[in-house]
Amino acid sequence: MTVSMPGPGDTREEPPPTVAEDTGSVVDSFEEFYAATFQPLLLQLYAYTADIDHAHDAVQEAFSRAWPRWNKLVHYDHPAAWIRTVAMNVTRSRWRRLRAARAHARFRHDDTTEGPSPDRVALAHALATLPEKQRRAIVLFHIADLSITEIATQEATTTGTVKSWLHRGRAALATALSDPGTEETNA
Amino acid sequence: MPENNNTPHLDNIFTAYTSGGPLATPAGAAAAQHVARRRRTTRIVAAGVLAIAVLAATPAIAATWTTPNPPAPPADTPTPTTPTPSNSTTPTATPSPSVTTPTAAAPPDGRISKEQLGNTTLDLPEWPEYLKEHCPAGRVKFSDGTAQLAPESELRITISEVVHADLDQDGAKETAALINCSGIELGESRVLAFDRYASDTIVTMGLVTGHTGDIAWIRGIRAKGTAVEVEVLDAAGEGVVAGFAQSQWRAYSWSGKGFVQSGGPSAFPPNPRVTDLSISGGDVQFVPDGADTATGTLRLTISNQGPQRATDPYLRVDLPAKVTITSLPAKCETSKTPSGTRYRCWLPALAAGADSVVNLPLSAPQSVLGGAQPSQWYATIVWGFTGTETGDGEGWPYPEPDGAEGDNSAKGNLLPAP
Repeated sequence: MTVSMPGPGDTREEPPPTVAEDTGSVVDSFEEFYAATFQPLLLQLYAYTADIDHAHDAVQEAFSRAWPRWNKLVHYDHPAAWIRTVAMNVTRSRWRRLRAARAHARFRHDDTTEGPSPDRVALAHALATLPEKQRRAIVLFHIADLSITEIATQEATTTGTVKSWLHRGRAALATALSDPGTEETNA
Repeated sequence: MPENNNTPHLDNIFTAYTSGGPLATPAGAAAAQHVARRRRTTRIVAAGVLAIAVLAATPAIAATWTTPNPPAPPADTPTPTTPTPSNSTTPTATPSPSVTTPTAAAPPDGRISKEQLGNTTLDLPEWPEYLKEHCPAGRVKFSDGTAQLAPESELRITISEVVHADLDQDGAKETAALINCSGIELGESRVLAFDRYASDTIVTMGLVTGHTGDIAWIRGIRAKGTAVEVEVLDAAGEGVVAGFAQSQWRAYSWSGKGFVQSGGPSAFPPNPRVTDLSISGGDVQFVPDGADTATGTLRLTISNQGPQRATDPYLRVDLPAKVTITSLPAKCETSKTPSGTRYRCWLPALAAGADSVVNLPLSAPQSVLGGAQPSQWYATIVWGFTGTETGDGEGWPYPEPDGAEGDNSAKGNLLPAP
């Protein structure tokens, strides 16, 4: 029997699926999906967290959770959106972060990477100074390339609110980037 | 679009951010899958290790029994038995629910409904260490059957079942409740007993049982005489395949100081769905068999290192494009992958300790094999797999014993004709 746990296995942290029409096309493999989406998702999560290890573990964690559900996720319009939402949720809880680090840290290839470039570090650190909602909106709009309507739907708010977050976020970001304390590049 | 006249350079910064090279080397899809698989098995394995300790300890606990009517001691073998708690001497003067003001002589009515329990403040014992900062203990206020440390807490406590029995044999019934504190992928279930003082105050008698020994989850409770019977499982959590977990009913009784097991099996037998399979194979040397084609044999050795018979070993072989198996085992399916062909075969049952050799004749155009990097084959072996490609609640294979996963896959080169 499958164990019915009211908590474990529930899906309250997950975004509601948007199921695509079955077009009968060849289903992408999990491996292929991973290969295609890992780097963009990592960039989004790094911008969101300003911590490359947290970002990496969160994305891995989301993929780990996706795999048992892959037969369902693969039919979503945007399975990567599911991964991103789960990964962002992972980073927002200290407990989930620790759990993800315990599970995934040993698989990181820390020795083979130089770390983020100074430009990327500067942007992530500047974003880190923003309030969470503004930072999230900026990451979703400018880095994940979501539309304002999509962000509003995902955040369960109005497009006007999203525009306001973006407007204030961009202003704060510009200030943070021009602050000598955070300016680390000559870009 | 948001206005950006005050931040004209931001768009360039974002473009530079997203258009650069990779941010870090990915850990890989296989690593993510590995963690998902490990999570499924961790609980089962931990339970298996502790089972021996429980077997040794239970008779000693039973020996401390102090009531004049001791229930039968727990069976000391893992064979499921019918619990036989004694209830023959239970006083028959059960108070009626309509008695709202007990007299000084009558024991207080300890029957508390699920609704009452779920909307009051209860004294809860500490949760295990790893849950302490997420699950409230001590004086905990419940509302609608649940309690949380904070509204946004990852985990929350839920009262899922309530039964009533005269646990302390005072002639009035008390309450046992199945309570869990759980969140995504993680949680603990436990059974607590509650009584009422004459003043109507609810008092916690104690912990009946939780995830001790080989108990990975508690699925249900029922009253049986003066005992509470608890349905326990040996495996739990996301990804545990349907039909995998074993369940048992174990009885627990009040000793005067605390609850001790008084009936039912004290340990799970080894889970019959966990056995250690392995696969190995070497490079395949191709030889020309025509102008453009070559053949070779992929020789895979599949072993069952025990302790259980694997009824339906499932072999998966991935080959590069244009490399084909020319003669397949009896029950196989073929599908395309982005990089070639996947063969999925259900093999005959393999007894514990047995080996089986699968010879797969391969054919390939010579041009495919002669690349700068040698082509490779990749094969995995599992069992209990019911047919879906990446697995879901129904389709996942049975887990391997702890640490035995490493030899469930093998790979080798496809060497071109010299």
